[in-house]
Amino acid sequence: MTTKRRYSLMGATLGGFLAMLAPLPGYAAINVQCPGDTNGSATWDAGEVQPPNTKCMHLGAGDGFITMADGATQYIFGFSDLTGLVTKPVPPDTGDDVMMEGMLGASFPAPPIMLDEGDEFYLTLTNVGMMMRPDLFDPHSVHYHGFPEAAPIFDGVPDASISINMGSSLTYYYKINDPGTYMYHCHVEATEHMQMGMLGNLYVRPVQDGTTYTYGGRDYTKFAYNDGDGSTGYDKDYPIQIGSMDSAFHNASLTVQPLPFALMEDDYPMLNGRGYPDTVNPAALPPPAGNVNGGKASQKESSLIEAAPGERVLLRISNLNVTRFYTLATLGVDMTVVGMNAKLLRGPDGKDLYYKTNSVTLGGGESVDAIIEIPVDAAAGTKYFLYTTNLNYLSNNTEPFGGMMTEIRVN
Amino acid sequence: MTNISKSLRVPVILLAAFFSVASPVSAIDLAAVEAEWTPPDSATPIPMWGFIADPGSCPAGPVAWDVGPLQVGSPGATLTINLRNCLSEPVSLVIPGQNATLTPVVQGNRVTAFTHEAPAGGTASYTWNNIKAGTFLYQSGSNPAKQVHMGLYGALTVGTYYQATDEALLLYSEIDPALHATAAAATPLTYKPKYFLINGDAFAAGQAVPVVSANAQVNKNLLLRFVNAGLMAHVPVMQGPYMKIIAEDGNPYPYAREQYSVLLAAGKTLDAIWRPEQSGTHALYDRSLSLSSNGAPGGGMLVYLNVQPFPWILFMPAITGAGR
Amino acid sequence: MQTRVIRRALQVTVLGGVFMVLLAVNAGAMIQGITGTSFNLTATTGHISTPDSGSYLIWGYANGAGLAQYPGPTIIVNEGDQVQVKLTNSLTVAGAGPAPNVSIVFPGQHVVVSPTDPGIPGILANEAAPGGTVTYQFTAAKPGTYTYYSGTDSALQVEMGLIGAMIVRPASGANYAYNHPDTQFDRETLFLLSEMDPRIHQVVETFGPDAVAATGYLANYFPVLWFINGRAAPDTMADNGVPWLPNQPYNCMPMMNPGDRLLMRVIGGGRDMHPFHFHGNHARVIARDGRLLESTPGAGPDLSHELFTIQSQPGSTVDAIFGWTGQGLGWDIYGSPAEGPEYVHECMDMDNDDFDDMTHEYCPDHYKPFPVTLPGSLELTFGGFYSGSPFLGLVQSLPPGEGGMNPNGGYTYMWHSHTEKEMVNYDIFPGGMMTMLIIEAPGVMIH
Repeated sequence: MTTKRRYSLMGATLGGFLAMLAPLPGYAAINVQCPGDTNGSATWDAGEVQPPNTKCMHLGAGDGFITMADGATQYIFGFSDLTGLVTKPVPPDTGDDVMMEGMLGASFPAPPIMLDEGDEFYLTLTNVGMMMRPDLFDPHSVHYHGFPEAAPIFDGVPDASISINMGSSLTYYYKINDPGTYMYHCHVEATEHMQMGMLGNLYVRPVQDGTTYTYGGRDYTKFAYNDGDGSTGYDKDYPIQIGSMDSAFHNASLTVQPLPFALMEDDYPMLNGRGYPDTVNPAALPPPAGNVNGGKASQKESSLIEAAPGERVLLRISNLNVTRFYTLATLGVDMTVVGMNAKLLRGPDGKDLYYKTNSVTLGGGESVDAIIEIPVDAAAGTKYFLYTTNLNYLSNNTEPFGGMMTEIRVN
Repeated sequence: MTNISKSLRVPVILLAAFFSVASPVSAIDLAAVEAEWTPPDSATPIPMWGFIADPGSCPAGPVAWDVGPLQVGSPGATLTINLRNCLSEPVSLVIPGQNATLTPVVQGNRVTAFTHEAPAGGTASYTWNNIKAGTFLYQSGSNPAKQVHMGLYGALTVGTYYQATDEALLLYSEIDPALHATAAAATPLTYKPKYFLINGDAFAAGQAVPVVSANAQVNKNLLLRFVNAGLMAHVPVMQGPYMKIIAEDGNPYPYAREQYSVLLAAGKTLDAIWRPEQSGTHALYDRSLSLSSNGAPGGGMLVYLNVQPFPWILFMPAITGAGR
Repeated sequence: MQTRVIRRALQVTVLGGVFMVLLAVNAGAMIQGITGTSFNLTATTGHISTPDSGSYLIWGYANGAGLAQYPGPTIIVNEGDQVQVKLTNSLTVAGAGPAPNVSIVFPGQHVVVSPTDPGIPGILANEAAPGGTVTYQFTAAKPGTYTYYSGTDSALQVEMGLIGAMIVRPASGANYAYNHPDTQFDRETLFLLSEMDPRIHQVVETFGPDAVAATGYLANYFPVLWFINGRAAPDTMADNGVPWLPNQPYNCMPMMNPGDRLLMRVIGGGRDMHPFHFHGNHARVIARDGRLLESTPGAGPDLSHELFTIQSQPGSTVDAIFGWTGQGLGWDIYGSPAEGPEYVHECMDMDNDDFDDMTHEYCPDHYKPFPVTLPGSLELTFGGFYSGSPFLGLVQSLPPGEGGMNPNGGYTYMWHSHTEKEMVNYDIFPGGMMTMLIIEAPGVMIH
């Protein structure tokens, strides 16, 4: 907790930061674009009409804090979910609701984005600024990683198009044609912003959902892909995002030191933004200690996998760490890999390339869809494990019995 | 010494005949013991922990370390392993890919062992019903970040493939001496292995290349069973020939993968068929370049597979037999 | 604006019934390398440059008496060729020890040494002693993407730069990757991925290779530089053979038009795995280690599958075919009259495949308006490759000093290692294992 001293500055910084923002822009404005939504909440409130197949979301990009599984507090950049906050019209103080919610509101992983094939998705990104780093004026972006047939304007790569400045909003549009497990992240200063935590789960459910297929003697109405035969049917699905962070880098960022890009060595391996045993906490973690981020819960994604005997569990595994490959294994139960990189694992003429395994190896920017079948004779209370076989990553920094591991519990 | 076949040196415990039908129940006895391993470039042994065939009581002092004894099972059998723990902390045993009901050890809110343990000085028993065919790694399930890299691992093979006339086991692992001196758990930043082993041998420059013995013959299929007990990925490459990768973790692929190289991730097992076209020595080496020994190039994960010339003498009776 | 005129002219040409033959493969669409059946490579020393002003000793393969290259010359041969590679060892080293032996291994090839120039036996291959030679011979039996590298003390010599690519072109023709119609391509790009730990190069340069063992760097390996085809970004995007990179002649600058099939030849040249992510679309992985992913010989790539990130493993090769049309975006990439009269264009689909027969525009999205309002220019940060417009082939004004690297208004996509740490040159971002794909508007000629 060597950095705790700095956190007490937060209150003063918050006020100063808002004061600084206020005179900035005649041109900067929060602008949520969502068809049918008139008050800029990215939702359809009373009197507003949601057009068919339309989804909206309002994300904030800024900074915040999380708690590592060994109790350490860590500074992050990240996204916050501002959906539902009214932004129009903008009386002098209404915009501040968004800023108050967004500033130091970063969560890790980022708020999950769950879409359905056929959706038209309007994603507004508001850059709320990095409160702990008033010296930074970084723009931000959203890269919808893996989006097929992408156009640069909505691809989020700042070099190839545009990114949004502090105090303003950019709305991305995606026509969702292809189901599968994707991921999203900020692509501005990617090495830095991604190491700092601007990473999240994103997946698309297929139009086959809602129809019924019988597979292996069981009926399914939810599927990983449009398989045509129910072979990707599942009862439960869990996004599992592999990640890891280098605490030295984060501390250097918080204390405005030079950032060691090439020297990065991650020491906190995680699943969905937590190290074991926080991974199996089904609830949001409590806000970071010491009121460093205004008491906002910043780690809402559990990795606890629960299923009943005979059920099929779809693991939507992605990896967005920026330093290395990880191998993720099951112990006690097999996986069947049915999808890879948001595509059904079949050849062009339909040849089935599914395969059974006990582990998958993913680098950053890769995803795999794997199905676990809980044995029908498994007793309630049985535990299986999902963990990295890079066994030195079973720790939270130096704390043993932690790191990249979660439990699969039979209920 | 290093060119003596490892598969001849390790005690092979035959659990059951491959096609045993009578009583496919096998029990074998292992002990987890303190051991020592002498690296190729130093006379100072490195403290290790290892699995050995249970001598019935704990050895008086450290034994010479080797990978755990190869276990051979038959598909569908029930496998029981009785483990004697001669170490000073609890030890357990798991076989990823062979699914059994796990009885984890929980301390506070953490699982500290994937299944029940043999306490220090005590014993425990593990049973797998209806074991499946393939190649597997057995290893400690207790504090694996520490106990596996200390040396508590070995291989299990179950059944064989009809395509293959013989087989060779290639068990990859690593040793970071710095962690052994204190028997500390490996953590992300501490684990920096210096020795890279195949079947327990760390080849060093200037030594004869280790030879993995198998009855490899020209135009006969040899099954290569790759097992990675290390904490890092390796990439075995055959120099010239291709392999057909047919299974991982005991699970056959829908279509074989024809490659000269293959990713052998940490904890992974792979089965590959190789059909040599030429006799002589064939190098198999790690293309992730763990081809050093304590920092010196020219060693590490490299072995020769010897292929015998076309077996005319053996071949003739085979023809006769086939025509009978 | 100019490009839009060209596009319309192309459409008119088609309507007029004049078929322009654009299928001929031009030289710029193909990977640069050395061709023939008999090659002379020399292992020698040189220095490479990195964009952070670094200069590092390498050991590289040179073409004959040329300069050491990182990577070595890309050997391009034809299926069935009897290939001969004579290696001369001209390495010199600092320190008291002798220069090392050196060799070449060609994974996937049945190599023999020439009876008249056998070199001396080594562990993985016969070697050339200092000042000596060895000649390797093999038949390029099967088409595909391959790699070659030193089989002598590979942990050190591969790191020092003795790596290269080899392409065997199939009997079907130079614009096929393998002997099957599904492997036809319009353009191809090499992506030989590697990394470097400069400490090792500095030790070798100052004290000689024998000093490396004591440092422990080969075990405690820690790369801080990353390369595609031997260059770190942004040098990846400079021309082939620029004079200021004499030892790094190969660029990596994928360019295409909508509807083109771009063959990606991805090689793991170093010792690390790299997740190579290509923005823009999935690519279909058709081969691995020079073998088509097919269920039976002649079936074609029926076991292929699509990825958005290729997991490149050291020493292995992957072939993938990438394409892009903007299909299904839900808006017209050439704009619609709703945006202004200058966006009027047509989508001509006479063969009913949903795409314009010449431009490959996705006709079901034709004239669908751009779906959102973009923020004002003062609210945005602009990239150097941004054309000022969301539409393909259009260049619009940007604030002074912005954009400018995309004169034809192409769509640009970052192609890079998704181990994002590898997108730096030491601590300078962006750099390293990164380049940009440029999809130029139809009618824009690509050099």
